[in-house]
Amino acid sequence: MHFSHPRTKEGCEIRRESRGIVLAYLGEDLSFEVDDPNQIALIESLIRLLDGSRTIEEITAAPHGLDAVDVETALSLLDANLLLTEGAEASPGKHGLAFITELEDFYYNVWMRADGETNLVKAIFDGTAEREVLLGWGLESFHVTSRAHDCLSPMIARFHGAFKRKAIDYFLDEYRHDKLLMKSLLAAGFEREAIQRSLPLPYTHATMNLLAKWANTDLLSFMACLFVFEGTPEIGNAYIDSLAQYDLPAGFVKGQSVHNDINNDGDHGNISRDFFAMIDQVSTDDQARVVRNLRLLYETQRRKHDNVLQYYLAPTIGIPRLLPDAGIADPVGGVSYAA
Amino acid sequence: MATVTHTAGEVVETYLATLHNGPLWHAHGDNGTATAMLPQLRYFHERAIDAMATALDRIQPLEARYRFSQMLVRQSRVLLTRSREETEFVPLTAVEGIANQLHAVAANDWRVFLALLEPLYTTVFPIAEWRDRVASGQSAAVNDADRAYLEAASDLTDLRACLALVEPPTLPVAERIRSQTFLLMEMASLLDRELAEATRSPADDTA
Repeated sequence: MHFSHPRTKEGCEIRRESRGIVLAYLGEDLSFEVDDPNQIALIESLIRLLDGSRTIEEITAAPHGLDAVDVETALSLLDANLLLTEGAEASPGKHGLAFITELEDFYYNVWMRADGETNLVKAIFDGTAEREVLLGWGLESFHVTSRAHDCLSPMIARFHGAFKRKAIDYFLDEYRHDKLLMKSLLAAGFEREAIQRSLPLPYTHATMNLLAKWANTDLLSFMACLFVFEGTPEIGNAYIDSLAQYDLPAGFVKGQSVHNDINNDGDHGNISRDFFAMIDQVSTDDQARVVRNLRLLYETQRRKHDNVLQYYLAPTIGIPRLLPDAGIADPVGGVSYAA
Repeated sequence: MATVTHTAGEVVETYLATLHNGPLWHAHGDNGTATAMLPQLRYFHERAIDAMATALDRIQPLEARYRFSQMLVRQSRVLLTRSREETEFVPLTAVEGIANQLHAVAANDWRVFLALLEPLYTTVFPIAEWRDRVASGQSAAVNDADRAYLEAASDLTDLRACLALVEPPTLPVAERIRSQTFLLMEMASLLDRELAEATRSPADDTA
């Protein structure tokens, strides 16, 4: 028996007849015929118990005069004739907007507050970041945007209705942002081919693969985590403002700034809210999974910041990072090993 | 389209040989690391099955797909014996990174995915070495599902047969194999660091 709190389906009518009980549902009749007329009342009282408020154990123990085997047989017969359904209330969930604002709290107000700014963010905002680190951040941002399109596209085929329309809107908004960041990097003196052939840092790669994995397999986590990739206008503007402290090529700063403006104009920081506003209920199981995944993204992002700071201060396979023909590099900087 | 003269497996093997003296090569070699890796490996087991299942219907020719499916069947059968707690474990970010790298290439670049599996099961996770260590009774924390998984995942016969049946990679594919191999090995190195952080005792911090 699949049901924990069985109940007869809505619209199922019980009728007493001379030789037994008849259940009528959607134009079909199921007859319980008995030899002993006294059994009719017993069966009827059992069926009246099937209102979804009782467990099978409670139904079996109720004073209807039938033994456990009879009850089990009757329930099986009703189920075999598609007359039963589940009466238990669905487990409590949470409205999508309530859930996404809780996730924003976790990310910005709980986890980030507890751990503080990363050393990379502190250095950039304090004006103490090395030029190579700033350019390195630009290169890693290029890798994020060049993967973004491919990571986003699987969601379109998996969404339906209003979600699909929103997904397409967002996909189009994100189209080829890597071109903007490419311009920024070209202005900083890097060669186009070297940029295109370069490798992201491992935690940048890991961050984008989280997004790709969820776009393919877990749309709730995917939608929930987009706000992290987009950031807030305050954070984006503060980053652009902080670049003014440094002696960087104007074209490099402009490319970063234009990208930030597009995100602000498109209100991309609220993309997760836009999706979750369309969700009436998120189950407790889904909530637990998404919080766990957001935490994984948070930790990967922080490691990405450390990775950027350490690698670009002591690059082992160059800036941009180009695949070595031989030798392996310590990915967080330091030592290079020849074959 | 030009092709390289080596199979995908040989591209990886040749490339790894050039990296042989690096610090990544002996990653996870000690007993402590192997023990700490157990819960990570249990989680990874399910993720590897997901990636293999994602790639399966893309693999050509069919004979190669059949050989690969035998590997998938053996490892997924063992997965059924795992408890929910083992596979819903919250992993280290580097393990998640490796699992997601596999998933991404399984979904988008199956030739690269196949090429990554051998270094994954021999170098990143030296499964045969761990299997032998378990067999010699040095790891008490190992359960039956772990033993069965180490046995199944260390048998690369079907994978190698599959790779031998797949057309040699074109030059762009070989380039992508090298890039992904490099990134995989970098992440393996970072996994070593994360494991060390995760297993460091408070006394280490105050020393």
